[in-house]
Amino acid sequence: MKSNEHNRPVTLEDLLRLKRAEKPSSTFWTRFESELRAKQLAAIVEKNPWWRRLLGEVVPRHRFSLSATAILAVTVFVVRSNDLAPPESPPAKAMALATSLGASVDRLGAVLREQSSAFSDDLTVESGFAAFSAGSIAASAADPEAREPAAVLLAKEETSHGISRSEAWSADDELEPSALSPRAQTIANNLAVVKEAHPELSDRFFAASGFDLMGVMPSRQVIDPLSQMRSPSDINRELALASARFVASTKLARNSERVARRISDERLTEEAIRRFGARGNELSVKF
Amino acid sequence: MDVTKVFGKTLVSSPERKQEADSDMAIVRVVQAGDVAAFDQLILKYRERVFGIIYNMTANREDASDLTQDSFIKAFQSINRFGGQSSFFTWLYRIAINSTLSHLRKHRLRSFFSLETIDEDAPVSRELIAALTDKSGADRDAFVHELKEKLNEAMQKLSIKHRTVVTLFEIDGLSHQEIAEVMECSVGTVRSRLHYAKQLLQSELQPYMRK
Repeated sequence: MKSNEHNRPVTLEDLLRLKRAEKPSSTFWTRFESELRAKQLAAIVEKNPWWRRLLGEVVPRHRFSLSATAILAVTVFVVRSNDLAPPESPPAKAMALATSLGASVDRLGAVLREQSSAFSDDLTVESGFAAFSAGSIAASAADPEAREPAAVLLAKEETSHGISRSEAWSADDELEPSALSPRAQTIANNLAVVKEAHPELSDRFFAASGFDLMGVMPSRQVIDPLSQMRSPSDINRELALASARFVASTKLARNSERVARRISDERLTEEAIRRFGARGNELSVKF
Repeated sequence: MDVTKVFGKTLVSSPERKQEADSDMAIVRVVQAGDVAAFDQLILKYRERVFGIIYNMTANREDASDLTQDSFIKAFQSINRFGGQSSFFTWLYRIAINSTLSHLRKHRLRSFFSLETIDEDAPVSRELIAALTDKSGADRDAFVHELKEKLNEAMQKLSIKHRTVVTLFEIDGLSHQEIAEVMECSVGTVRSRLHYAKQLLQSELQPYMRK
């Protein structure tokens, strides 16, 4: 049997069959499986986009020039964005404050409306707080299209009513009632009433803002815009006086300049010598 | 009747291959439906055969391992585009062979060969080794090692296309028709390439053949 095996012919096919018997070990297949699993997961999670392959080829070659370009681009972008940014663009904190204020003021407005029967100056309260109505503030804060920021809106409201929020809210603590404008006084009075009626609500109102308005916004002296206005006659008088002063001053200046230009220093000296004469006991002066 | 030799056995091609193709197609449909884990069955079924083909074409274990993994990943990524015009294994083989051909063209000059261990427990190889030598122990091992080297060298002397045909026909046991489908050429081309490749191998391995 064994001698038969040894004497049998060996063909090319037999030799190639040996290659068929070449097989890797089980450890190889374990490693193969773990590697394949990792590749498969990577293929599921992330499909390699064309630009990443491009970056992989281009970036190592031109890394210095690319990094320099990137720095330049960032610098240009920062400079341009600083130039283009509106000066009154609101900080995020102010936007958040405006939104929270809107909600708080809504609640306060509702309470005030309930109390309105007890107060004769309800209309003033309405106009005062409706100006800060949550709708307008929250809408302007939330709506990206409404580019006018909430802080600017509040500032506008402030100027249109001639008061500052800090003055109104801290009126009873810091300022004399006589220093406030009539409207501010009304609002301060109303706030005081609300504080008395619902102290916890008013406390929550100021706490809900999460921002110490009194500390941040400095109180300043109130000047009633009406008192600052001048009458038309005053304006006309001031204009006339200013123009007269200007004409007078320029005329004098022009005359003196002309005289100075015409008479030189030598000539003045020469003329002075000619005008004064001395002979014996006499002294003559020519005019 | 189309007859295919697989691992030393002679199989009637049609019913078994058809049944195999149908079961593969069922798994493919499951994967296409979203059950990604079902693809593991296909990997387990074909990984040794795909690795064997690529290893015999590249004669390098590490390259063969990477290329086998890449072939499965490519098949996995594009399995939704597989419509069943051919059987799954033909499609997978085509991916594997195209990847290997592309790799071999890129690294034409590289020749780091690595040898796999021959499974001597398989009856075919045991008989063959016994027929080739009556030696035992270290001498026998040295002879087997030398024979493996010579086989590799002879295979590497073939062109890429001839090597592919020999690998698919003699080692993996595909039919001429299947090789033609995988290599996208005619059956006549497969036959002529196989004939030429065998002539060359015979001349290279003459000292190890016995009449």
